Amino acid sequence: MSGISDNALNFGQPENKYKYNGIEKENEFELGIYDAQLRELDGQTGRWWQIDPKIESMEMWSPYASNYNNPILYSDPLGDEPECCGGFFVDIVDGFVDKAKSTWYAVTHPKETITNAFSAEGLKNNLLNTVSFGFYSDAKTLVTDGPGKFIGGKLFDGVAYVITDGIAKNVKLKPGEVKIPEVKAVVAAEKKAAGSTDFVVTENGTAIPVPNGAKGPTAPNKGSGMSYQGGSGGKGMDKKVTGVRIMDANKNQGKRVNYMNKNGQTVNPQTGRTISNKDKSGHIPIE
Amino acid sequence: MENPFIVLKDQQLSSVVFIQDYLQLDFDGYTVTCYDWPMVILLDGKFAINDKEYRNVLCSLIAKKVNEISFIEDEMLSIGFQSGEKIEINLKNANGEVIYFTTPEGEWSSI
Repeated sequence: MSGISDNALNFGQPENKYKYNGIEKENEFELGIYDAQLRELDGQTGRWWQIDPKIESMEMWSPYASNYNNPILYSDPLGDEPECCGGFFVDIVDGFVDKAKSTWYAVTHPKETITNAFSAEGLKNNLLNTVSFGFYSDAKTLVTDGPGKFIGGKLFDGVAYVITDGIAKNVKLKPGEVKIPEVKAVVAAEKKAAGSTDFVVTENGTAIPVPNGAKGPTAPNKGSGMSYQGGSGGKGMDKKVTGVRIMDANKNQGKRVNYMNKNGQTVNPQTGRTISNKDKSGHIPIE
Repeated sequence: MENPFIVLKDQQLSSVVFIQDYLQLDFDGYTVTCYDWPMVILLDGKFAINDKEYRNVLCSLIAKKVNEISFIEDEMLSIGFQSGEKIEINLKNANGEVIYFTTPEGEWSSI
C-alpha cells in the first residue's frame, strides 16, 4: 500500500520517527509499524497487532481497535488505553469561554464597558474591539433603558446570547422580567439555525457543548433544567449524540449534564453508545 | 402542569425497551424512561425486577390501552390499563431522577 504510506513522501531527508501518536516508528523489513511500549500498531490499517492489555476496561471495543477509531481526539502512547486530549469540556472550548466571560462582563458592567471602550486606556488595550461586535449596543441599551428592559441580544452576526436568572428559568421569561442583579448565567449561542446553539456557558465559565443543530433551550413541564434536542454530534461528540440535558441540582445530585441519543437514551458523548444509568459519563458534573 | 402524565390516557403501550439497567415504556410517541424498575401488577399477582417472569409480564402489556393515570408527587406513578393491569413506579426515597418523560411534541418532564 505504498500509495498511502509515508514512504511515498520520503525524499531522503533524515526521517522523524516520532510521528503519529508520539510512538517511534519502526521501518525494519518495511513493515512500517509503530512500536509502543506495550504493543505494536500497524500504521497502515490503524489496528494493533496484539490484543489490548487492558481489554477489561474497553469491553465494548475490539481489542485490536486503536484510539476508539478517533485518532484526532485520542492518543495512546503506551498502547494500553486511549487518553482523551484534555477534559471533554476543556480543550474544545478554549477561547469561547473567554468570549462568553467578556460578554458577561459587558452586560453586567455596561457602564464600565462603555467607559472603557471610549477611554484612551480602552483603546490602548483594544477593549473597543472587545465590545464592538454587537453587544456594545446592548450594553448601551442597558444604560439607557435600564436593566429591566433587557434579556439578551445579538453578539455578532450569527451569534446570540441570552441572559438568565438561572439555568432553566430563563426560558419562559419575557424581556423585562429579568433584573440584572439576579443574572447568574450566560447562554452563548451560535445561531446556525433558529434556536440552536453551540455551547451553554455557566456562570463559572464552564462551556457545555451542545450537539450540532440541536434546538433549544426548552424547560421541562415538571422538574428543572434545560434541554437541547434534535442535533447530531460535533465538537468531539459522536454523531449518535442528538441532545443534551443540563440538569439543576436535586436533593441527591448536583448540577450535571446528560447526553442522549434520538431515543432519549443516555449515551457516552464521545462514543455515542448507550450506557448504564450508573455510568458517570451519563451524569457529568458541572460547577 | 401538575400531572404531565395525564396525556397517556387512551394511549396504548406500543413498546418496551430494556436499556442496560433501565427501562423505556413507549406509548405511541410518549416515552416514559424509568431509571428505577417499576412494579407490574397483574390481576393474579405482582412482579418485580428480580422475578423470573418480570420481563415477560411487562412485555405482555404491549398493545394494551391506558385508562387510568395516578401521579402522586414523591410517592408513586401508576399507569393503569383497561384490562386491569398496572405499572407502578415508586417515587419514594428516590436517589436522583427516576422518570424522564417526553412527548412527541418535544416537551419533557423530569421526576
